[in-house]
Amino acid sequence: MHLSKPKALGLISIAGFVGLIIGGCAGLHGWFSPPARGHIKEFPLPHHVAQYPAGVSLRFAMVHDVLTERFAKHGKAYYRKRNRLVDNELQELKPKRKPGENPSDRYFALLDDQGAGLEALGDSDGAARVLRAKLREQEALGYKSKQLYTTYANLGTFLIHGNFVKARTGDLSAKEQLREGLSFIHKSIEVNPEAHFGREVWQAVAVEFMLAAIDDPGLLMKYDMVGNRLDQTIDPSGLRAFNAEDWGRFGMGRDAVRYLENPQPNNPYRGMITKVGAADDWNKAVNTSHSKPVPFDEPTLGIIGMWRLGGGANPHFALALGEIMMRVGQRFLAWTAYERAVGMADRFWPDSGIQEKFVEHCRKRQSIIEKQLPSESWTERRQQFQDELDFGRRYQADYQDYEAKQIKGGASIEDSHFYDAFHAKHGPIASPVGQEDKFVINEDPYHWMPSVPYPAMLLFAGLFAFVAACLLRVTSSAPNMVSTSPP
Amino acid sequence: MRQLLSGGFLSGMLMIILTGSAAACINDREVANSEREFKSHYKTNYQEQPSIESPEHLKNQLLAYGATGLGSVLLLGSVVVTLKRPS
Repeated sequence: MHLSKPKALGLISIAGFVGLIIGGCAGLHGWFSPPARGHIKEFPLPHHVAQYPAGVSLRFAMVHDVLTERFAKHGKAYYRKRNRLVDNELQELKPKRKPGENPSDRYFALLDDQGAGLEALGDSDGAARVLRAKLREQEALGYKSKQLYTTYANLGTFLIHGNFVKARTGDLSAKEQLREGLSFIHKSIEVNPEAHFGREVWQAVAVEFMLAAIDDPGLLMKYDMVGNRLDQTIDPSGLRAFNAEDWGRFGMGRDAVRYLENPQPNNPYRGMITKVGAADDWNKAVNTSHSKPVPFDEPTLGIIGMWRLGGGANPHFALALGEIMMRVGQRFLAWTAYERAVGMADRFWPDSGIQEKFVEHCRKRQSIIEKQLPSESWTERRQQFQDELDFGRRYQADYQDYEAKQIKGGASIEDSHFYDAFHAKHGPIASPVGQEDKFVINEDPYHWMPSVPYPAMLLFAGLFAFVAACLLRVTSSAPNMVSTSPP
Repeated sequence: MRQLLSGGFLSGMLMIILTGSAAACINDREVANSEREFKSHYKTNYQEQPSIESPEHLKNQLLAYGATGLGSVLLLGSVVVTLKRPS
């Protein structure tokens, strides 16, 4: 078959077009993907926007660090030394005050230190006496509102701590002081709601829950201390800490980077955070100030604050962290929280039956996670957690030993270089922030162009066209079998 | 009666532990420094980099460029073969 060149070109064009279509279909199956375009960019998550401007914002590494005790904690030697210094300075200040002159802010701050120091050494009653005297003095001078914040907060804490034993046995006076302590906590929140960046409210919620549980221990296996239902089935695999679709689609992550350079009140970002707590009937069961679900980072930071700066580890804190992490899809952290909680089960409640139910609940939550992640070796994970916890505890013990030795050697706890040698030897203890706290996208400036599988289309077009051209050449070169010349 | 009292005492002791831990935010000279240090320990850097250049990605890129190149050569070749046919 012999075709003219234009017709031949037309034919190979058709062959090439057919190849193009077939290549497009093959390309759609991802056999040949066009090279990726654009840049990988990391953006913050909504909970990186603090509740209050300049406040602390949550990172998941913080949760890990409290669960494994990866933070510094002062020892008794430190507080004994500090108490001596505070007492000395108070003694020096009193004679220097002129008749009719008001005490200085420094004087009142020292009274807070005195109370906190007595509390740290186990003398809650002594601490409360100091703060009551401070309150009387301040009220006599006409101090009001925010000026009384630290007095309210500290006095409330010391009263609660010092009277619960007697209140539980029915001592009416102790019960009255316990209620008084809680009211001081509420007052402190009222006059300074942004104190500790809003975390103080969770101290009140914790005490309110405990008071309700004393009257009705059944609540302990119905709710955690922030109102998450323990009898609710949770599948963490599909859950996230934020509304990921809107965060990415509307460019809110990019806007948040700019916002964080100059944070302001009233931002749209915190509305994207997953809410937890105050579940069904919580308000009926517990007389509490925490009446509706809140962004998960708020109670989490509250618990972290209480754990680090208050009395330390607590099975109720660990349980609440586990329940919160389950609800935001942080499965490894949730598993770790439950593991830590089980280790403190004997402190959950005096009743051994309730302790058993507590352990059963934690193990049930862990088994949900373990079934969803079967490739993990959970025996190894358990050992890893124990190793990390031991590491954190050793760090704290070393820190306190170091303090005691330094103080014995005459070093001043007020010297800004007091801990230099310790930090030089041990390095930072806080865990680094990882990818769990980043929103990662591939930002493609040509995203408006369809992602056409042109490599496959060109290859197939070329193949078909070339084969057609070769076939045409072969057929046009074949000799003519029909003789046209006469015999 | 003794059991009741000791039970009450034990649960009261436990309450000390539980509510002691809720002695959250004691306000003393440590607080401001603690907050500052706490924040500084968890700084986050948000990075930007060209699209992932993992070995897998590079392999896919080579495959794509190879297919594009070969297809283009074959297309050109088919035109040359057609035009250079004997008349």
